[in-house]
Amino acid sequence: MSQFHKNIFQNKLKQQEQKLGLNFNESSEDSFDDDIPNHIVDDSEFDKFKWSDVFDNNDIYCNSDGYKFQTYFQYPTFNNEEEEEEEEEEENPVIFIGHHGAGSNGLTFIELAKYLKIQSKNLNYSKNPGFFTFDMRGHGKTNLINNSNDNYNLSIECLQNDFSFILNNFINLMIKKFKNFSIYLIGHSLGGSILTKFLFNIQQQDNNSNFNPLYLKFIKSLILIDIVEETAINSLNLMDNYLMNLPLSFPNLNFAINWHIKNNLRFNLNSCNYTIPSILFKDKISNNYKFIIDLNLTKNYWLNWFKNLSNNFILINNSISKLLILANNDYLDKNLIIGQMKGNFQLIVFTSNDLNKYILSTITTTININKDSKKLSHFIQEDIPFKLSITLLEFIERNDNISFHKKFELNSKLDLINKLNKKWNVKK
Amino acid sequence: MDLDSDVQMEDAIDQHQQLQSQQSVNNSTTNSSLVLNEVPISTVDPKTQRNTLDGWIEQLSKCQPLSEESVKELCEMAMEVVKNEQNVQPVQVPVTICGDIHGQFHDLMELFKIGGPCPDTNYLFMGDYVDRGYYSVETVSYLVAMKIRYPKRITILRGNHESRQITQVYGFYDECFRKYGSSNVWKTFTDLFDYFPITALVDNSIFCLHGGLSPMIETIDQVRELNRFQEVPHEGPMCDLLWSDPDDRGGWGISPRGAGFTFGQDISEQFNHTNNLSLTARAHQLVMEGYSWSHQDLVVTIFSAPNYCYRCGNQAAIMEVDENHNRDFLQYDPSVRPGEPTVSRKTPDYFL
Repeated sequence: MSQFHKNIFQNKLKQQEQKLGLNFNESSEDSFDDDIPNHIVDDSEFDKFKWSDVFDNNDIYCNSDGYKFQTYFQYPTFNNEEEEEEEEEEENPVIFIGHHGAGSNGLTFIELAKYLKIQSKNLNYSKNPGFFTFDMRGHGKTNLINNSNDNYNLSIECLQNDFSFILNNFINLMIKKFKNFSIYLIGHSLGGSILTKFLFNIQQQDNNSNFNPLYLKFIKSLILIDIVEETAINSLNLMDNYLMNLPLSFPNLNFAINWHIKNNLRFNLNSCNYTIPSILFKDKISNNYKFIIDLNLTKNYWLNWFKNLSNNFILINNSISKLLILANNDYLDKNLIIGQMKGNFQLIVFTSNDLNKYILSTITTTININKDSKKLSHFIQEDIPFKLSITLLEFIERNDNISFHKKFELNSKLDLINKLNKKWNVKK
Repeated sequence: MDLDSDVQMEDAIDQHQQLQSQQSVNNSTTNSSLVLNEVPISTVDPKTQRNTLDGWIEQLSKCQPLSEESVKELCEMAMEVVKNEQNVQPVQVPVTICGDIHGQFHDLMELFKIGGPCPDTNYLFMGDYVDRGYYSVETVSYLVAMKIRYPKRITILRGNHESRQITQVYGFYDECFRKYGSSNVWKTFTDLFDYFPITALVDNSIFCLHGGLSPMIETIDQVRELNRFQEVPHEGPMCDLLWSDPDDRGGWGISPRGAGFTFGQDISEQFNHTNNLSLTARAHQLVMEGYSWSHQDLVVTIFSAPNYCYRCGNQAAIMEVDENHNRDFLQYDPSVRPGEPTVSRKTPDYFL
């Protein structure tokens, strides 16, 4: 793209984004220029950012229709070096299963997975959570390894089915290894909606999917990242404009990353090094980088992706702990407000302001490894993986019922509850 | 005084002043101590102070915020009043008990219309004055001013939203910043919140608090032993009192809210029995009818913000308790008023 086109394009986009409210801070543009390498980096330099930097394997799951999913798995580990003789079978690991949103891919969780492992060690938890994720239908590597005809069947039903197949397959593998384990479902944006609808339907036993309902007992929690039904549906009207203004191609990867950061779509360069290259492919003819998925072709599915999300989320019963994490505002729709005010789920809001201003918090540890960005976009897991990892570890500590605790604390929250109930003579 | 201002409140003050002058004439010892208590605490001339205070109340009753300097003075005066109150503040019957307000100023005025003007009616508010509604500043300023003006007639407890951390997320911080151009007023108020009492005991019979019970608290005396002058902690008994919810499940449970506990009927039975209570009254949860009984009438939830967040479609309620401990619920709908200011919402994209 010529400089001229680029300028026109960016101006147009800026206007559009201001309309969309994407620019949270108008004076922001200059402040993060420092963070972005301005020299053109050879694209081969990005080869060093590999899934294997964090994940231990990248199995491909193939469903009965022959559709293949690229998966990534960081194994759970345990911090009990002192008692090495303990058999692995007796361990009960905690495993996150991440579902990315539309237009993204599984590596959106790579930095989060990394920090979950690092921080669970640093904060002296007894075990380090595993992290499993995948590229959903039509996205990332999954798109590239399949017949293109199947890539655009992105109805909510199909996406739920895909997930139940993947989860079922994953649990089948896990039960061969572990007697018991806790699964924490974590979905970003559309991913959160798919997980919610999947769980809701399983709990309602409206289950014609290939998921074994007996496996429900392993699922401890549902965590949604920055998705609210009403906001999502309202934003659908603006999507055409938004997509119209997306660049069709980028001359190189460095340019693509800068473009995303400059347009406030992401703020953390470390994460972008993994995620932006993995949502693009190199067009052989033009030698430019283009988006793997054309979201314009998914338009017919949008409304159903989000419809009834809030209602379903609220109705998932409390055998599953629910956490909603939002970026930059606490705007809930009616169903969610009522749910929240009834104490139905936990809400955590991260705001760009908080990242800078002083905040009274239990966590005051600012360790050098903190590579969080100073600002926050819709991609919370990419922008502030360090902070998010601590939040998630505290969430597991509070909600898990198979002994996830800090090493110097002998009891898990469940043990504490049992003791308290005993003290109050509560009959089982 | 400006005759155009809120008639109900002006009447109340006038009536009360008449009452006070009568009482002064009677000159009985109990009455004079009552009068003394109701004079705002200040080193300057009490008469001028009261005029200032009445002026503030008048201004606030029109939903006009005070100046930053006045807020500072107001909070200093309020601190002198509330810091001497107890962790378990004793309250006499008759009293009208109210739940969450959340910055819905016009509905608070409606509440005083429904329940009767203060100080003719005694009030007990169980916290959550700020956040979410558009008039948190006016709401909390008004209640605090009334507290200083009629310290024996109105009791204001602390809710989980009367905290630094929560108000930074749910709107009060931003509102202060928007209305005053800095966070000074937010800081002044949140410093004051540390002094609010955390529970009240109505006639040794009704235990009132914002959230619910704590597994670390078996007797009301244990509440008295807490050091409440601090930011609401993330865990522990003080946190639980402001965060817990009653639940259909028995015993203690982990609260889905991320703080506090859930407690079952067996717990409420024990607690009320141990402490010789007839009832635990609390707020904290939205209930569509404005009030809701649980645990076979051992616990009542009262929620006083109608159509919460201007969108939930719920009724609000307050609970009157008379001299004979008869309870009566008054329900109400949102007040008629000019439309709320529209706060523009950023609509983010959800795809790329």
